[in-house]
Amino acid sequence: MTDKNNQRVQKPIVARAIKDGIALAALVLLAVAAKAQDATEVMRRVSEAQDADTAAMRISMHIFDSLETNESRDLFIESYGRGETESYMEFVAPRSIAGLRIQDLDGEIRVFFPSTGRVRRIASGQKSGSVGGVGGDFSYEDMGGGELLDEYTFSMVSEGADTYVIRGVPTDPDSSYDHLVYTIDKQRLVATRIEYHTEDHGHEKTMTADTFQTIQGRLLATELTMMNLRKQRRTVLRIHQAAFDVPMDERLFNPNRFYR
Amino acid sequence: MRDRIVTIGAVLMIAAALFAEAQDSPWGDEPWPPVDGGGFEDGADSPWPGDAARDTGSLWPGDAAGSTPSYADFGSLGAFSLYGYLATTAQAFFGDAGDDAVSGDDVAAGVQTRLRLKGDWEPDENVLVHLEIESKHQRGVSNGYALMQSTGLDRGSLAAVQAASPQDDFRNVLYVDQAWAQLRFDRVDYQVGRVPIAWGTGYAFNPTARTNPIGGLTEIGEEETRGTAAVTAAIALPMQASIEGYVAFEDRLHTAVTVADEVEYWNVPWGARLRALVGSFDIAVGAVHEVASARAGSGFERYLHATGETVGSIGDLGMYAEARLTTPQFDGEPDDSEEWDPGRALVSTVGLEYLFPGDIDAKVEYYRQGTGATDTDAYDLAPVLSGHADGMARDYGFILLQRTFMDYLDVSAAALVNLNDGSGAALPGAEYAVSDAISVSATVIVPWGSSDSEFGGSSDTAGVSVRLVRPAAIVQAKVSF
Repeated sequence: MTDKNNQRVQKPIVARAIKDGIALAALVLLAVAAKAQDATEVMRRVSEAQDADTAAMRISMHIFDSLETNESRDLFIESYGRGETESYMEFVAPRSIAGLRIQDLDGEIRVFFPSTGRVRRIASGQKSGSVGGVGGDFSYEDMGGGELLDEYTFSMVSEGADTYVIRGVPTDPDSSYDHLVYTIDKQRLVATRIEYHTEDHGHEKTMTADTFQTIQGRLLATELTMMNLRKQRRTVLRIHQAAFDVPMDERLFNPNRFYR
Repeated sequence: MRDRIVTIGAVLMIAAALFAEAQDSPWGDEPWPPVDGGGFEDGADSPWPGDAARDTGSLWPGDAAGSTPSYADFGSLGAFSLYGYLATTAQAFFGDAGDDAVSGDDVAAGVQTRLRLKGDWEPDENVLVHLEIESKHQRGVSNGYALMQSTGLDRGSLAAVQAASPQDDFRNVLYVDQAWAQLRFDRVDYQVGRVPIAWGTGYAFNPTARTNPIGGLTEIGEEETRGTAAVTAAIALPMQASIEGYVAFEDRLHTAVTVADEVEYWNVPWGARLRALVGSFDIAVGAVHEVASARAGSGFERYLHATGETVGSIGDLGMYAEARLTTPQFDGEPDDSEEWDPGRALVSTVGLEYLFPGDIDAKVEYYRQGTGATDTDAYDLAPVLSGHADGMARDYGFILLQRTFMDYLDVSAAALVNLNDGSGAALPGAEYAVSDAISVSATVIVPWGSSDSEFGGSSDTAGVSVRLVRPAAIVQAKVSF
């Protein structure tokens, strides 16, 4: 029980504590916001470093059915991208799937099967499936384009001497992933490692960038390894040739012409 | 004589391919794809030839660092590629064949060896030439002639026909299935020759595809689209829309015999459609003039259809629909004497696709054939055997479940159900990729139904009782090259 004087003393103390608490909370929020901004700023710089109006690449994909084996199935692909949301790829080898073409226009995926001459649409639920149904650990979502800052909300996890570790949460509710964890090389502003986490399986896949090459002023990861921890296997993607800001045939990105 | 010409053509193609391979690639010295093919040790030096160029900052061997190629540097201009596959298929039918006179009541077997050669040549940036030649050797139930004889449907005539034509080969077939040139211009594309015309969004059934014979039960969702002698054109419009059309020079059943009426302009098949994007859906509306050889006698049957199709998705659920509505049959002029029944005139299919947890791909399709029967007493097998109808009933359901294990093994379970009489056929199967080039597959057909049903019983036609679907096992080995 407090006397009248104590009550008068306690009110200011409580009020001050509340004020301090609010101020502290505001500081924490500001700090978090600052870190989020820092993370967003870092990813913006990473994205800008890779920006190109168009990109053409020749890629090989090597699928290993276990983490230890050195025997792989090999696929060879020609890939073309325009802007952030349009891409086209054509399988060149092996012969069993040569001519298979996949077009992605802002998430609308169409697949042309040369043997039947038919074009089929891929529903968004099938985006977690392997590209072209040919296997491997890179899904449509993994290989699809899109503006990083639009597709994810970023926050800084930690900052070391050489790297940032940044968490990205997909903004698309249909995404296969719960969140991604990027390891960004501070000096080169490239992602050297990405962890893919799902709600069901936790840390499901890890992609590492193993080799870098400067092409037309852009530092490009020319060898990427996707380790599938859930299925205990891996896929290596290599870029043989690349060109940026080259003229593109309009038909590659036309849903009614890309297969002609 | 025709076979000899085709054989010479195939030899010339192979020779051209070998000659083209010996020429310099437009990509310079780096072979595409890399010679080593695959399998390398992590951490070892890259297996790609020309990697020394990496030190100069360019991935292109011999190029100065920083040089910029154009789009024209990609692709296969001037190159000729020859590829294809060799497939050997063995099949066996079991049990009651339907008619007392039919041979092979316990087990009727057959084997087919099929070599399909495909060639591409791109002599110019705007020109693509494509050729597909198929050679088939068929024995037993895999041979249509033998099957007709064993069921009695030929009424004993085939033996006489073959005896009268000893120079013709009824086991081996060599034919050009596709041979077309594609001409690409700024806003217009043309195809000329024997062209695959693959209209329709349906998976098991395609009501708007009226240029090819109807495939059998085991051809659902598979195999190449047969070439049709035709000219096709596609005109690109703004907003990613297009107008497409074709004029064909053979009837839908690809009748081999000549008919005097085929010179008449009203016996020329054609199709036209407008394609557009509406939201996330691809939509097409059009018209098709179908010409098929007559079911009885000589001449042709003609139909004019209004067509429509759409495909898209809502969330994770893919959906598609396709339909044709047949106007009253006419012989060059509209026929008002026959009362038009839109219910009978409509043929449609609707389907859903969904990827279930565990990477199980599921498709469900409902097919409505307006001219089909809802009562088994009204079943007519003749249009099915002649290729004029997909089945005897009006309503069918199709379901497919597929899953890939370890990237090598595809397992599927499909079923086609006659929703009018409750009969159906299950088609479980599996395909195993032994390597990049070799695969083996096995499919089983298990029909069920009452004795008067389409899939479970026999149907009478031309005085012969035929069991349309018998239990069967099919195995195939395929080598791609």
